[in-house]
Amino acid sequence: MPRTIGRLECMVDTFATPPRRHGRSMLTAAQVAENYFLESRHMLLEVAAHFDRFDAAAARDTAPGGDGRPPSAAGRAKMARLREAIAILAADADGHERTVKLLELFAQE
Amino acid sequence: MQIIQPHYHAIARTAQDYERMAMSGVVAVAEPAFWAGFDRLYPETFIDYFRQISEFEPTRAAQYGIRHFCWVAVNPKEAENPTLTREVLKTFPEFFAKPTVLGVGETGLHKSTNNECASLEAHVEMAMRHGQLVLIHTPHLADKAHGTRRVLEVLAGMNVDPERIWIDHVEEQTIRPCLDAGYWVGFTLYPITKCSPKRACDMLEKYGSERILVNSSADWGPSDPFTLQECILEYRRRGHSLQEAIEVFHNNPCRFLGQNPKFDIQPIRVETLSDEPASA
Repeated sequence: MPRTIGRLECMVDTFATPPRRHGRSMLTAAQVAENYFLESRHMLLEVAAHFDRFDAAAARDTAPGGDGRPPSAAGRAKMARLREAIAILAADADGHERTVKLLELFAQE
Repeated sequence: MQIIQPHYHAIARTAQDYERMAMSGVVAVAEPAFWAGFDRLYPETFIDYFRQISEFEPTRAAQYGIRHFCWVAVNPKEAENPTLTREVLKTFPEFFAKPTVLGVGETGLHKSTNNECASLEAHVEMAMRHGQLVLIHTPHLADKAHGTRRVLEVLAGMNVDPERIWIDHVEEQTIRPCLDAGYWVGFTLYPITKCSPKRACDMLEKYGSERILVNSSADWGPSDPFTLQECILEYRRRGHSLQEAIEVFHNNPCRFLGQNPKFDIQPIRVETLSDEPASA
């Protein structure tokens, strides 16, 4: 249903309007937790699957009939780096800039 | 390669999806009856819906060279109306006689209530009595493990042929008991809320491809029919051959759905022409 703004007409905003704070419309903490939960759950499951896939591949490689080689140092280093990243996320209960910390971690040699 | 999309809600998708599926090798889809997003009130609403997916949708799919098959069921969410469920079940034999109806589906559980379990049992009993296939929906997210256990409990108390029952939407925590009990299982690939292409490939590598179907179950919610093709690409990138991919994404649907003779698409095998003699 159109409403008039000055000489302009526009459709009523069909998105739910978050409360205005500090002069801007932003999500509350509860809304952030709720709105992004399923997406984050999905991404964590993908990370878990990556670890499972690595372990399964390592088991195949060293089993009879495999190429006989344990995971390379580079491969193990990559997985260790991911564990460091997860530890940063898990440990930082009240901190900020987790994204920055992870980017700095992944930029290390 | 040739692909069969065994669980696809065409009624909720535009013709552009058919066009793009056809361009990417999909030769057939099978459409279960599902929840419309609201609870239907009348048996006639179901009857007209079943007519739409058994009479109209095959003509829409045929515009793009795709064969369309379907199933009939009262969705678990609507099972909370037992009177309505009973009235709709009475109409199933009429639809079993139609040329593209494959069986009962998708029945199953949502919150695993007593009404849902009773409806599931009635659907499976109807299917077994009429020699039909069964497609079972397992709950989403946190309800999945418990709901899948209840599905297996209900089935264990009935005289069923496991080879004719497909338990869909399995994930890592539910696949083993379903396979161990002899049922077919399905991986449903959603962008966020169900399995993913990579995790589906992981489970194929861990459990093998026997009695496994992969689908996108694209519907009116956040879903994408091309998660199936994404899975095929991931599978091939991991080194699996074209024939291995065809076994999963074309021939397994043929093997399960082909237990109903109406589904007359045959498994295929890739052969090279390199042994043919050169022409004179």
